[in-house]
Formats: sequence, C-alpha cells, structure tokens
Amino acid sequence: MIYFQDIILRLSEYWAKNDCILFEPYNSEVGAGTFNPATFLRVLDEKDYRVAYVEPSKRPRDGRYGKNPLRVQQFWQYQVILQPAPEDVLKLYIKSLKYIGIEPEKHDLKFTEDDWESPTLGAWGLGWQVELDGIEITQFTYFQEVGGIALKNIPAEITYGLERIAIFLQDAKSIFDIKWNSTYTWGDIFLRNEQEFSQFNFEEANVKMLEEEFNNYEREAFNLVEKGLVLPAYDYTIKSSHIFNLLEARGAISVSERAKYIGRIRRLAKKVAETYRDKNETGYN
Amino acid sequence: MPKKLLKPTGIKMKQVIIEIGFEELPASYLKRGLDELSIRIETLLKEHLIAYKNIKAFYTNRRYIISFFSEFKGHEREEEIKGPPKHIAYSEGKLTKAGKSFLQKLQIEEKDTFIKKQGKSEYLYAKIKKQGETLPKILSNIPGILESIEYPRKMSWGRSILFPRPIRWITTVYDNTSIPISMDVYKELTTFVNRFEKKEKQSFSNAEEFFSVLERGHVIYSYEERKNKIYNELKEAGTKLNGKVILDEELIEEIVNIVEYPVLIEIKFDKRFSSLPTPLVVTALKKHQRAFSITDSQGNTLPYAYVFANNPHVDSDLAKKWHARMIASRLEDAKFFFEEDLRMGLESMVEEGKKVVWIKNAGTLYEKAERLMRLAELFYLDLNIDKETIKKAAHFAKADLVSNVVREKEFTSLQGIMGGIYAEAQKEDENVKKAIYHHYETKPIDNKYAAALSIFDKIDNISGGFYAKMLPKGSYDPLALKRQADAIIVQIIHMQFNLSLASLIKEAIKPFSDELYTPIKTFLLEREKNYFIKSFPYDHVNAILNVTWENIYDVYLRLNAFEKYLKHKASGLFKEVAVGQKRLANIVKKVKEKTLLKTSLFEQKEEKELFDAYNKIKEKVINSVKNKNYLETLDYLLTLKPYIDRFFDNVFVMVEDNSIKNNRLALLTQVRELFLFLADFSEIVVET
Repeated sequence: MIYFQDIILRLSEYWAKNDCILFEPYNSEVGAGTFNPATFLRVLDEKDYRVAYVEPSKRPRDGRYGKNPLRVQQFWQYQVILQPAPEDVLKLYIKSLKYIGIEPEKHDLKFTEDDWESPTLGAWGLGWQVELDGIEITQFTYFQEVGGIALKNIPAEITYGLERIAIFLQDAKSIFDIKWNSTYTWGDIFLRNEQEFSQFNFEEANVKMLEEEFNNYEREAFNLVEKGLVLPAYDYTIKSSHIFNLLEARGAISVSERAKYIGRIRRLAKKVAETYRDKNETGYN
Repeated sequence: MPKKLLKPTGIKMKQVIIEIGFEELPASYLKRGLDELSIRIETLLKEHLIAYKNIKAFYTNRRYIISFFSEFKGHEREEEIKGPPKHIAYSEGKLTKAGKSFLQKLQIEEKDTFIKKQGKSEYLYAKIKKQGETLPKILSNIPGILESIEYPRKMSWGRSILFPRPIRWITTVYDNTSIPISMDVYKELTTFVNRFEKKEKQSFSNAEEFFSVLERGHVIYSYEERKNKIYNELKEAGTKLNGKVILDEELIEEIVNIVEYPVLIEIKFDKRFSSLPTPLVVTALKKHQRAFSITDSQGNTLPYAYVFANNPHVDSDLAKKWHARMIASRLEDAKFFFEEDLRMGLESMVEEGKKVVWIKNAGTLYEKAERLMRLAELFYLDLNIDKETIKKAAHFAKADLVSNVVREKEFTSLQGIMGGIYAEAQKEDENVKKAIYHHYETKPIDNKYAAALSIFDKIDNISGGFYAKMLPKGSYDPLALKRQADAIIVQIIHMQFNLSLASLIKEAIKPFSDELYTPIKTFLLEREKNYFIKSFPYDHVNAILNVTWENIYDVYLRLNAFEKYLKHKASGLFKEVAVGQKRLANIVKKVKEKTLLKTSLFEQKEEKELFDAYNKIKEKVINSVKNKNYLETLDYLLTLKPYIDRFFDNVFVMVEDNSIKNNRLALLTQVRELFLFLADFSEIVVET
C-alpha cells in the first residue's frame, strides 16, 4: 500500500534528485500552488530555477460539508516548477509517475489540450491535463505570462492532484477513505476540517468584515508596493484573493461585481509583478 | 515570375522525408497546420524548379510528415525583377542615375533589361539568371514556414520560434542521408515512435525504412487508417453485443486526433444506468469521458461504453477498472440530476424561470414562454394545429433551461431534448413532447407542432436579439440569428405552412418595440432571397420577390412553377415574353395619372384584340393565382404574348392626342398589372 504521505515523500525525493529546491507550503491561504511566491514571483526571475513543494489548496466554493466523496474545500497539490522547461520534460514527468508506483506503460495515459488562465493572477499558459485511465491526475502548463509580464525563461509547471492519484493507487472509494499512513485516513485528519469550514464558508463567514478586510488589504498592498516592499505587498495580494474566494462562496458577490473584484486583484498582482521585476533589474539580487 | 514546367520523366529522383515532431498538439489544430506546411513546401519546390512527384502529407498529434520524391538540385531559371518606373529610369532615351543604380545593384547591363507595362504605367525590368537551389537550402525555410502557420494560440518554449506546443525534433532525409537544417536536428537518421514503446528514439537507414520504423513503433501516421481502425473496432464491438455503437462523428474525429495508435477498451457499467434516457447517457459518456455508447435494436442504451487508449501495450483489464469507475460516477451524477428534475416537474421549472434572465435586457425565461404562448394563440389557425396543444408546448418550451441536467455545462446541448423527456414523463400529449424535444433544431422537422414551436421560438429570438442590439454583422453573429432565420424559411417550406411573415414579425416584435419591423423585415427578406438563390435562378427569385415575399411557401410554389414551365414547356416563349414585359414595364413607368380605360377610344384593331385577349383570361388568372395553380396562371398569361407583340409592332403609344395616349397607357397598365399577380417578368434576364 502506498500511503498518501508516501506519495508526497516519493515525489519530493524524485524531484530533489532532479535538482529541485524542496520548498514548503506557503503560510497564507492560497487557491493553488501557483499563488505561492515560490512560483508566482520566482518565475519572474530570468534565472534558471527548479522547485517542488506540496500545497494545501483552499477553494471555499468546493466544500460539501464532507459529504461528497470527491469534492472538498481544501485539497493537496504537489507543485513542480522547472525553469527553463527541459527538452525531455514530459519524459521526466512520466518517470515521476513510475516513481510513485504507477506503471504508465500499462495504462491509458493521455495528454489532452488544456490551456490554463488565471484572470486574478494575470497569467496564462498552454499545456495539457494528464488523464490516467480517464482520471485527470495532473495539470501541465508552459507558463507564458505571469502578472501580465511575458516570461523569457519559459518554465514548465507540473501540478499533481494528490487526492486523485491516491484514490487511484489505493483503489479508495472516496477522498476521505484515502489512507494517510498505516493508521490514519484522510478523513480522520480532515473530515472535521471540511465540515466546519464548509459551514463557515457558506453560512458563517462575516461578509461585512471580509469586505472591509478586502478593501484594507488592497490599500495596504498598494502602499507597500509603492515603498518597494514587494514580498509583503504580495502577501496582502494573496490574502485579498482568498477573501474574494470566501465572499464568493458566501454568495455575497453578484456576477457583475465578480468581474470587478477579479480586476482589482489582477491589478494588484500586476503591480507586484512589475515592481518585483524592476527591482531585479536594478540589481536587487 | 515565369516558370518552365518540368517533366519529371527521365530525371533521377530520390525519396525525401520531412518529419516535424512536437509534443501533443490540440486536436483541432492539426489538419490546418499540415495543409499549410505541405502547400508551402510544394510552392518552394515549384519556385526553385526542383522536379518532384508523389507528394504526400500525414499527421498525428505528435508529428507532421511530408514525403515526396525529388531531385537534389533545382534547375537554372530566369527571374524578372521590377525596377523603377520608366519615366524615372530614363530621361530623353538615356538611363538616369536611378536607372543606372538599379542595373548596378543587380550587376547587369542594359541589354538584360526590358520595359513592361503594368496597369497604367511602364516599368524598367531586369531579367536575371538564377542558379537552382539545392534541397537543403530550400528546406532550411522550414522553421520559418512553421512559425508562419496560423494557429489560434501559440507559445514560446525557449527557442526563437513560436508554435502551439514545443517542437522537439525535425528529421529531414534525402534518400539515405540527413539534411541538416537549423533547429534541433539530429544529424543521424532518427525519429521517435509511440510514447509507450520501450525504446522511443529509433534510427533508420533510409527514407523508405522510415515508415516501417514508425509502423513497428506503433505509430499509425495515416489519418484514414486511424479512423478506419476506430470505426471497425466500434462496429465489431456492436456486433458482438447484438447492438449498435453510436458512431458519433465529432467524437471519432476528436479521438483520431489525440492518439497515434488507438486501442479499444470495452467498459461495462451497472444496468441501472441503462434506464436513463439514451441522449443523457450518450452525452454524459461523450462529454465527460470521450466514450461511445451502444444501443440495442430498439434504441435503448446497453450498459457498455467504449474508450480508446493511445497505448499499444495497455493492460485493458487494468485500464478499464478506472475508466469504469469514472463513467459510473459521471452516470451517477447524471442520474441524480435527472431524478431531481423528474421530482421537480416542468411546472415548477416554468416558475423558476421567472428568476432567470433570457438575454440581457430582453426579459426572463418565463416572459419568453409567455410570448411564445401568445404567438401560438395568434397563429394556430394559420398553421392548422390545435390551440391548446401548441400553447402547452410553448408554456413548457423553456422550462428545461433551469433543470439540473441542462444547467450542467456538459449537458447544455440537451436543451429541448430533456424538456421533451420530462413532458413525456409527466404524460403530456405526444405532440407537446415532440414540439419541446425538437424545437431547437434547425433542420426541417416533420411534426407540425414542433415546426410551429420552432418558428415561434426563432422569430422571438430574432426579435429579442435585435431588441438587445445583438445584431448579426458580417461574420459576427453572437446569437446565430442568420441560422435561425434560415431555419424558419426551411421549416415553412417543408411543412407547407401558409404563414404571413409580415404578420409574424409584427406580432413577434410587439412585446419589444414596433420600431423593429423594418430592420427585421429587411434582414429576413435578405435571408429569404439568399435561400432561394441557392436553388433557383436569381432573376426568377427577383421577379417573384418583387411582387410578393411574405408567404415563403407561396414564393416557393411560384418559383417551382417557373422552373417546371421552363423545363417541360416552351422555354423560348418564356424568354420572349420577358422581352415584351420589359418594354411594357418601361412604358407603364411613364404613367403619371391613372385614367379609366374606354373601349370607345380604341383606334387600331391591335388595341381591341389585346383588350379582348386580356378580358378572356383575366378572371382565370386571378382564380388560378388564388388557387396557387401557378402553372395554369403562366399558361394563361403567355397567351397574351402575340397580342402584346402585335400591339408594340403596330401601335404607337405616345401620340399627340392625350386622351388616346392615356387610353393606350391605361390598357398597358392593366395588362402589366395582370402579370404582376404572378411575378414581375421585367426582372427576367434575357440573354442575347
């Protein structure tokens, strides 16, 4: 039996062997590993760079109070950035599957078109979703633009859906049945988390407070970026993005407001990205 | 550029292979890129006078292959190069500074030049000889060609070239040697075979062997062969179960373009899902899992699905397990939505539609249904259908748009279909079901109620679309209104509906704005003309649309009568009548005031004869038009021909005496008006 934590361990081992920095999850709520500054800001550097880390990804709207076997409001991504993307990057990826116990040569493995775009991050890239016997297990993207800036040293982003992979490897019935280790299941550790956060996201989150926070964080981020404090400014950008996700889950945002909120976050992300790059160019590093 | 055509006979040609290898390209990008690449390479060969033959192009989602036989080096050729205009190159018969510098630049002498007229002005031209280029030189254009191919989206991956996904290798071979061109070229003869072969990189010793290496490496490089394999395996699978796999063209096309070696995997799912409506199962399998469905001879779903792997070594038992689980979970979702909808029932969905906007600024779904019911009430008599039945269908028409099933993005294509299924489930009349089920279709529908509802829905879409200013402009047509207009036309003709388009428009726009009449009439009239011109001579169409447009089926009948008449009766006569009618129309145009015809003012026998002939057929013409017996109408009208001709030959209309003149004009006006009951014959084009 390959436990959930084994998958993380093995992926870390594999990518460490392939010259990745082993990073850790970020200390603020994010919707995907891409938001982690280890990706968002670092890919703006033109330097060669490889990193791998696990990221708990929070998507408040996807919560189902722990009742849906395949949907949760916090799931685990394994994020890899290879900058620049090596020639044999797909081969490297396929080998990583072998490393965690999948035998791709016996399965139906397909790379199917999936262009990625994040309107909040002002980012897009081209790539695939990787389907293993009909299950999407990975997102693969060649980043082209991040924070509205066209990248020069094109990175490949590999994002593994760890729950999907674990279900596959363990033949589990649901996310909650995944064995984390020999004693605990995913559900043992996170069921309560799902229940409480679902209730919070959908019913209890304080809309007025969150709206105020969003405004404050946005203002603070702009203030900080003006002072050249890019990393703290980016922290507030991430925070406002998460607040937006909460407000949306709470049903507090109409369709037209939604576009406005996204635009506001994108402006922040762009400003941060531009300032980060400018500071690099003036010899910050 | 003048080119000599080369005859390949007698020239020694060797096989050339060009293979562009890339990471999995989007399915929809493949064909267009290959076509362009192949055309551009062929153009280069022609331009450089390299004799070639047997050019073939192949693709999979990982490679483009162009293969042909050619010589290594092109032939010497002459090229014309355009210089300055004559008046600048020459002054008083001598070369100017500008003229000389043109010669210098090309390192030629005056005798190598000539003057050529282009449009209105003359130019100095140089004739130069160019050595034939070699194949490697020509093929070095490939990266540039690849870059210039148009694709919806391209990316960069650290090379200087942009392409939809990274290009990973280019293999160019002349017979048994590699032709090095810039970019990622392997000096040795190598290619990459199927991703799931143990050894992906393989070498070969000559062009001929290249293809057998691919075949052994499980790459079916021919599109047709991949497609055939898929077809045959699906058909076989159907036969095995005494059923029929639904050979969805769109899905087959997609799969052909995402695999290099399709391998069928049969998946069994729980029988309880086969009680779901067939369209729901088929769509769920297709949209979610790219899987084909199978039905028995009655069209009921069998609990099997078929997917294609891209892996020749796939362990089907292993792979089918997860495919089956995914399919079960998708069908479980579909079942859940479907049962929720059944519990809800159409009536609650109609209510729910009060909260859902149809098109921005053009009301809710509920309001749309109300409008459709109003049209049903106004037009049911014209269409000879039962009032309550069509009203009920209209009432429920938009209900399924708020159903759980149709709201799922994979199932939006089931709009109407699900509504029909829910209507059947709640035991509505068969015609109500069919009307809802089919009313989105744009192809002719056989059921009267479905056809009627379809027309009401589409005219309402057009009205709402015009009201919300989402107008079709050129190729921009966000609501596909052109297609809907065309569907209305086809439907009316197919069902032989006697429906006035004018009153249909008038009523349909009432809930929006009366000002929409003229723009919508203009739009529909243009679509109508467009439609008829596709199957009838344009002058006939003009002749008829000049006198009547709003009853489309009637226009169609008239056009048919014209066609039949021309085919089976005297076509010459028809054309001759047109000649007379043009004169008639021109003269009648001059009538400023209408005067009453007085037989007492007839002076010549031709006047009286024409008038008698006219009187003889007048009632018959009017009656036959009323009965839409247009062949008969034509017969009657054409009897007037000799009288009209004799009239024009012998009677001078524009005489001094005003009363005589006006009387003659009055006679001609009456004759013309009689023709106009059927068509404006002056529009008929007479070839001379």
